[in-house]
Formats: sequence, C-alpha cells, structure tokens
Amino acid sequence: MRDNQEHDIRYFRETKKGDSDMCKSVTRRFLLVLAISLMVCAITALPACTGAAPAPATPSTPAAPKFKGEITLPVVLDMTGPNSPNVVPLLPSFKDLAAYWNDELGGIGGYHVNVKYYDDKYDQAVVLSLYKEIVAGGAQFATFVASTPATTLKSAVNRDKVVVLAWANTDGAYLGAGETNNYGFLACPPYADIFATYVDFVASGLWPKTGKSGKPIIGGFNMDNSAGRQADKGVKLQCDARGLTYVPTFFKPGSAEHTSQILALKQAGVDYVTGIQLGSDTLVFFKDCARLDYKPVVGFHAAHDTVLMKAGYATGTWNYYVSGGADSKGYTIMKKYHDMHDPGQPMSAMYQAGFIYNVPMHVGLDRAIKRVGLDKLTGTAIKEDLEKIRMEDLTDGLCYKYNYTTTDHRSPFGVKWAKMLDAQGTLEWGNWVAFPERTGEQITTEFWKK
Amino acid sequence: MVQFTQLLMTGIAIGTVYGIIALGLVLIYKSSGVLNVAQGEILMLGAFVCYFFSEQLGLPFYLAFILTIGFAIILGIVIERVLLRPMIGQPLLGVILMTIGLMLILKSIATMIWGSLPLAYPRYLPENMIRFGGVALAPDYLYGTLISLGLFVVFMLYFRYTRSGIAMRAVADDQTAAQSMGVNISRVFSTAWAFSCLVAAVGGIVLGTITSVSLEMSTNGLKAWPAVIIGGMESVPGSILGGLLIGMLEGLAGGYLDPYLSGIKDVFPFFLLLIILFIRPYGLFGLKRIERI
Amino acid sequence: MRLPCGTYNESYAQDTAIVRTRVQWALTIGALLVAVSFPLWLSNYGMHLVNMIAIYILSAIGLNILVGYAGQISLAHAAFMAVGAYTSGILNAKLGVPFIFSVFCGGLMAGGLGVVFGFPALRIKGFYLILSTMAAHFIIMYVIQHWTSLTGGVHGQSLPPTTIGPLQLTSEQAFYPVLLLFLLAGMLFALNLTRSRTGRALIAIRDNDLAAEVMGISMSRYKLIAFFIGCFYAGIAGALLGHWSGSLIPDLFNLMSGMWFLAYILIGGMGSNLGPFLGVPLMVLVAQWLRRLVTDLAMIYPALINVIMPAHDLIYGVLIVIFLIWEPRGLAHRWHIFKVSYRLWPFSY
Repeated sequence: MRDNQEHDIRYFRETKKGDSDMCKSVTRRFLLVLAISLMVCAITALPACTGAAPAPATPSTPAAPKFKGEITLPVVLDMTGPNSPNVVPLLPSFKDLAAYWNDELGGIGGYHVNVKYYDDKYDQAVVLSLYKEIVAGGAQFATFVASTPATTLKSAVNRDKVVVLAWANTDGAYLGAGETNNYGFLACPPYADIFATYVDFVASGLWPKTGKSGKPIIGGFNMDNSAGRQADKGVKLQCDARGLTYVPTFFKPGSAEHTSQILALKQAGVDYVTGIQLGSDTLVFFKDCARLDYKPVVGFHAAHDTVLMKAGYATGTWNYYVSGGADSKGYTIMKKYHDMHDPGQPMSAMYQAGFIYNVPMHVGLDRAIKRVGLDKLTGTAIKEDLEKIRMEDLTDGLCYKYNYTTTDHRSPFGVKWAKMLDAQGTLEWGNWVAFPERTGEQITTEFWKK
Repeated sequence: MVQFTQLLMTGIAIGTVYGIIALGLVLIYKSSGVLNVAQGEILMLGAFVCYFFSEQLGLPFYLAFILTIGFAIILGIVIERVLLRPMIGQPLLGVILMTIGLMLILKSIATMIWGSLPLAYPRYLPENMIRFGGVALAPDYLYGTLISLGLFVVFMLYFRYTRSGIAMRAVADDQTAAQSMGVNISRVFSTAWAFSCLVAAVGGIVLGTITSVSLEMSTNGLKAWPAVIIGGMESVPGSILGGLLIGMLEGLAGGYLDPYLSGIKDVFPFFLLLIILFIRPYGLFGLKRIERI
Repeated sequence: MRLPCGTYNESYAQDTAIVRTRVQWALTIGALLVAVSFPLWLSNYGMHLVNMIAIYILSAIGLNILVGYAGQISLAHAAFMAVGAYTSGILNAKLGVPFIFSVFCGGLMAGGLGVVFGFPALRIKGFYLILSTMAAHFIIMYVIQHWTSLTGGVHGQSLPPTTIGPLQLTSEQAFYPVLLLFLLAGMLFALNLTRSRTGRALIAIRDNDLAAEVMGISMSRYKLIAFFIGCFYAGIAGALLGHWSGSLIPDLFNLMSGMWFLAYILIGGMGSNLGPFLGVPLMVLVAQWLRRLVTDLAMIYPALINVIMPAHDLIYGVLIVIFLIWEPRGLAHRWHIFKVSYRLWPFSY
C-alpha cells in the first residue's frame, strides 16, 4: 500500500536531519508542548475562577436567608445528538420548576435548589461516565431524560442505591417477575400505556362519532427503537384485546422518505395512525401523506412542534398531553413561570412535560430530607418516600395522579388526548384517561411473547 | 402495480439525491484519493445555509440558492486548504480521521447557530400533484430529480470537454505523471473540493425541500456509500446509477420485504453492497486495477 | 532496532527479551506498580475511568493488530464488540456459563464472525474493504437489534452481577484486577505476536500484499488470521464491557464508536504496540475533561447553554485536526523520535 511506503520515507527524512539539529527541534517542540499544556491548565482553571464569582451571588438573592443551604439536582439529557430536537425545548422547564419550588415552596426540604445539566450526547458510554461522575460528586439522585439509560444503569443504580428518575420507555425500566428492589423510577408513563389509551379513546370516543359502521382499523408508524417498539406493543396489546385490526410499520429516524410505510397503511385502509416520531420525521410523514393523497387521523407524540404548526401540518392531529389541567392551579403556576421568559409564546408539549416529569424527584427529595435530614439522606430514604405515593395529586391538578408502589414505578397514571385545531396551537381537549391496570412486568417483551 | 410504480418513483427521486451525495464523494476520491466521511454534514450545512438566506434573511429563493452555492464553493476551498493540504502523503486512516474531525466541527457549528429543532423552507414550489394515470408525483420530487440530473450532465460534460476537467481526470489516473505534464495538482484538489461541496449543498437543498432541514439529514450521507461502491469509486455516471439503484431498491425492499423482516429497508443497501463486492470486487462500473510490485 | 550505548546482545535470550535495558526495567516495574496501586488512591469515579480505559485499550490493541499491523481497515470493530458482549452476556445470564469462560466464548464468537466478514478482504482492499466492513457493522447490528427473543432487541437487557466463583465483582475496585489481568495478557500476546513469524507476515502484507505473496506468504491465510485475532480482542473487550456496565444495549455499539477506535489507534500511533496505551487515555480523558468544562460553563452562563453544550464537539474536532496536522503519525511516533534524539543525551555528536 502506498501510504506505508510513505511511512518509511518520512521516517528517514525526520531522522536524517542530524541528531544535534534533532535535539534542538525536539527541545523546541517540548517547550511548545509545555506552553500548550500551561494554556490548557489556564483554561481549566478559568471556569473554577469564574465559578467562584457567581457562587456567593446566589445566596444574596432576596429569598436567601430562608434557605438552609444549597442542593443541586443533576439532570442528564441529550443536548446534542439525534434525540436533541426532542429535549432542547424542555430545558427551561426544569429551571422553572426549581424556581417555583425556591420561590413558593421554600425550596426542597428548606434547601435552595439548583439544576445542573449534563449532556450525554445520546451515547450510552457517556451516560455511564456521567452517572459515575454524579455519584462521585455525592449525589444520591439524578434525572435522566432518555429511555436507554434506564437499562444501562439499572444494575448500577440498584447496586449503589441511587435513585434515578428516568424518562424511560424501555423494557429494562420495568420490573421483571419477582423483582422488588428497584431504584429506577419512571418520570413519564410508558408509551405502551399511553398509546393503549389512544386505542380506547378511538374505539369508544372518536369512531362512534364518525357514524361509520364496522370497526376502525388502527395503524402504527413508529421509530425502530425502544420507544417506538414500546408504543407498538401497547397498541397491539389493546387492539388484540378489543378485536381490532392493527397494521404496524417502522422507520429509521432521519429517513428521507416514508413512502413504503405510508403505502402499507393506506392500502390496509387504516383510519387511525398511532405512533411516536420525534424530530423531523413527523414533518416528513405529513409531507409524504400529502404526496400520496392519504389523510388518516393521527395520534402522535410531539406532533405539535413549532415547525409543524407553522407549516400548517399539525392541525387535525391528536397528541397526548400528560399536562391537561388547563383550568387547574398547577397550570396557572406553569404558565406564570413560562411567561417569565417566553411571554405570549405557546407552551410546547415538551415544555409542559418537563415541568411535570421532574416533580416526583422534588417531592421525594423534599419528603426524605424533611424526614431524615440532608446529612442522613440516602437513596434508600428517597426511594421509601417515593414508594409511599398512592394515587396522589402532586401537581395541583396539572397532571393525573401519581402512584408508585414497590413493584410498579410507572407514573403519572393517566394522560389526556388533545386535538390541534389551528396553527396557533388552540387545542380541543379530551378527558383524563387512566391507564389500564397492568403490572410493570406485563409490559415487558418477555411477558408479552407468551 | 400502482404501489410498485409509486415506490419506484419515490425511489428514483430519493435515489438521485443519494446519487448527488455519491457524486460529491467520487469527485474528491477521483482527484485526491480522500475518503470524505463528512459529506453528509456538508450536505446538512448547505441546507441550513440556504435556510438562513431564504428564511432568516428573507431573500427570494433563487437568490438564496445561488448564495448557498457560493458559500459551498468557498467552504470547499477552505476545507481543502486548511485541513487536507497538510495531510497530503499521510496514511489513509489519518485523512479519514481528519474528515471525522471535520464532521464534528460542522455538526456542532450547525447546532450552535440553528439549534437542534427541525426547520422547514418556505413553500417555493407549486403544491398540486402531477399525475400520470394512477400515480401521483409530487412537484418537489420532480424538480429535485431534474436539478440533480442536470448537475450530473454538467459534470459529465465538464470531465469530457473542459481543460480543468481533463486535468482532474489526469490527476486521478496518475498524480506523478500529471504533475510532470504541468498540471497544478493543488489547484485540482481545491477545485475538486469546491465542486464536491457545491454538489453536496445542492443535494442538501433538494433534500431539505423534500423533507425538512434538520441535523438528522447528515445520516443520509451514509446511504451514499453503497451507491458509490455499486457505481464504482472512479465513475461519475456510475455514481448516479448507483444512487438510483439504491434509492429504488430501498423503496422496493421497504414495500415488499418489510412486512416480513421489519426494518430491513435501511440495511438492504448494505446487504446488496456485500453481495456485489463478492461478485464484482470493484463495483459494477469501477475500473479493475492491475497491480504491479 | 538500535540499542542504546553500552548494551550488547550476548546471548539469544537477551536478543529476544522484551525488556532489555535498566531504564526499560525501571519503566516497566514503575508502570506495573502504578497500575496495581490505582485502587488504593483513586476515587470511585477515577476507577471507573481507569476500567473504561483498560477495556478500550484491550479493544484497541486488537484493532491495532488488524489495522496497524495487517493494514486491513475495519469500521465494524464496535459490532464485533457487540457480538462478544451479547454472546458472553447471554451465555452467562441465561445458561449460567461461568464468567471467565463466557468471556472467552464471546471472543471466539466475535473472532469467528470476523473471519466470515473478513472474506471480502481476500479480494478487495482500501476503500472497498472499509465499506464492506461498514456493511458488516450494519448487518450485525441489524441482527442483534431484531433478534428480540435472544438479545432483548432494541430494548437491550440488564445482566446479573458478575461473579467469579464466590467473589462478586460489583464495585469498580473489584472489577479492576480482572480487567488488568486481561489487559496484561492481551498486551503480552500482542507484543509477542508482532515479533513472530505471523506478525512479520502481517506487516509484509500491509506494506505490499503482492510482494508478500510472491515471497511465499499465504495472503488469504494471514488476512483471515488478522481478522480473527483483531475481532477476538474486540469480542473479549466487548464481553468485559457488557459485564462491567451490567447491561447489553445495542446503542453502546454504534458506527461512531467503531470509528473512535480507529481514532484511538491513529492518535496513539498505528502499527505500534505502545499506540493504544497512549491514544486511548489521551482521547478519553480529553473528552471527559471537555465534558466537565462544558457542564461547568453551562452552569455559569445558563442563558448560553444551547451554544455551550455543542461546543464540546467543536473543541474536540478542532483538537483532533490540530493534532493530526502536528503529528499525523501519532504519539508513539513522537515518542520514538524523542527516544532517538535523546539516545546519547547529554552528549550529542
């Protein structure tokens, strides 16, 4: 190979220069390396120095005296990578929730809350490292805004007794048969549950209204990953139970066209398409549907992206919301904090989800700190307090009730479906739909295979 | 039958985009022997820059298109000068790693400037479908295909009739011989990169019109690899044929194989690639190199 | 290999010894002492990094044999790691095969598959080989992701705690000795392999395969041997990675991580056994440090978080580019030049 011959040539060129000359150049290089490493040290020291400056500034806020100290909530999310379109809109929501606790609830157990974001780059190796880093920093708790970490970290968190609140939609997050000791909690309901409720909603609510005879045909348009497979499973389970036809299709995120999937749905005469698509794929789906003259009713996740709304594609789509109490006290609070930074802008579904999903972490920490104190706070204490939550409204009516037991960590226990009426984001709300009674084990692939 | 034709039409439209990405790869490989991993990212950046000109600056779309092409040419020259020139004569893997570095840089710059939410171009094409019998063809597919095919014709003519095109072919054939005949190799390299980026940017705009402008677009860069191999690494017409073939087979695999093997659509081109490499190790249109010691 | 002043080969044993001079002995013993003492003074998080680096080095050694010595560029390294991880994890978790034995099974499985996917290498090379390995990556990962009944599919699965006999390897500190032993064994094997007939045959194939064949080296045999050994290492490293992280997740083995292994050996120095030991720690620690920098900066300037977080990749990419322009042949080459120039220090000619 050519390049290896070059290798030899270059090697001779470098050593031919003469050793004294070589020495000099190496010394120069050494000095250069020294200079670079000094610079690197300086840059490393920079955040430490600047970090010292704002630190005293935080206690000097008006509310400072009433806090006993500071507590940091680590939040790990996909700031970059293929999942980022989904995650970036909810960044302010964690801070807003923390601000609400600091302003009006006296912080968590009397401590001022700070949110610290970590970027896992959609890489499970990074997730592991970040988890270790967070635990090494002394935290007994962390939020992971993605599905896969729940499986990646399951054995580690149960071993280290660290409470992890994960936005998990993967089998690894649910308990297998006989497992009772689980430090992983679900922040959002599994897609299997959510989309199963959509089938119910269609069969009992939407379909009778159309006045058509027969039974509706349900289709699936899901990502070929753990989240998509999860949604698919729930719909299939519920369609089997109700005797409905189900036509599943899958796609790879970021594909340029979904023609074959849409043709399959169209030819099967699917009336209602369910599915979870994040990022750009919803837009491509709608564009391809328009190209193929196909207009199904869809029940999607994150279908109300601003892009979709602006391009006029989102109208007429159903989308689930965990937050649905538009007339509740919790909603007013969320709106107040949202309008502080984005006045007049519609609250995206992701923002609302973010405001809700971290609530159990705040509540669990708050109760555990009040019970045992911050010095004696352990993951086990937080876990015990979280597992005492029984059908409890933690969000002032903003979302459905929470229910954590020792064997089931799915919550909140219901969603609302809402239809987008126009491009401004006006919604037609459905009612709260509670999830079908199932144990966590019953959603896993192994159980479902039988 | 309608399903078959529809899948084929979409396959052709998307296939030309793959062909365009493949053409960009072939242009660089032919002249400088560099394997550019970052082609998908250049495509993505082209789409974002066009979005910037047309939507954020509010320029008319044709103007945005021309400005994007200008930007792409400059980008290509800069990349070649800053990143690839120092790597001449270095091992193949080093050059690949250089383009991996480029990939990281371009993607993070796009994320920093435009964020990670998907964006959409203003609707600049007519909306109504063009119909042939039972098959509907979207105008954006049709225009995209026409633009891509036009680009291919231009490049075929360029390599055949212009002086610099012939120089580029000479460099591809034998660098030393070309140099001794007075061909300015470094200029050929920069031209190749400029053209490659231009082609990628056009591909990005076409793809952005068909789908949306998002960071995920860069994954389509991977699809071009099987197209390149099927067409043969050295052949310009091969790259378009390879792209078309991949696009169509992908569509058909999605339509007919997917019900049995779910998710096969995106892996199918790679199965095909392995099979072709077993039968014809230098691609369908590539040159079989005779090696001497 | 030129020897330093005053060092002569007086016996065959001396000629073939890996560690020759007093300085080398000192360095070897020093490095071993430092490596053994890690659990004593490193924090839990530090041990996590050390373990991760050890696994990556083991994998990179395999890739170095395949790419650096035999010249067969493979993008499918992550997929072969996945094969090892899944084979070992499933054998261990479902069939109860003992840990060490299942790890070797993982290695053998990956090596065997490596031979299968190495077959195209007999006819093709260069870009065509790179792309056939890329196809291999996608096909292997497709099978792993869709063979749900065995692998857990896209959801992955978590593994029971690793045990060796009565010992439970639950903490980073407990896992470290196992990894260290595997790493040392892998390192010794690689060192000896590259000095043997096989290693020289591989180098000959890398430098000019036609010439090598004319000289009587069976190209097909040695190319397949290289694929087997490289993928065997990947399988072992992948199996250890699976047991160490306690889960089998397809996302852990994507195309990009395969590319990063190429980056590790290139930055470290291709075709040098020292390479992986320099490249992996450097790149892993720089990435780690950058991540911490970005996280802290985002804490200080919360308004700029959308710009600061992606800056990680920007800086990392720029560092790679600068490094490649500065030293395209890797740190091992730099170290070699350093040794050559200081051989007579302080008395220069």
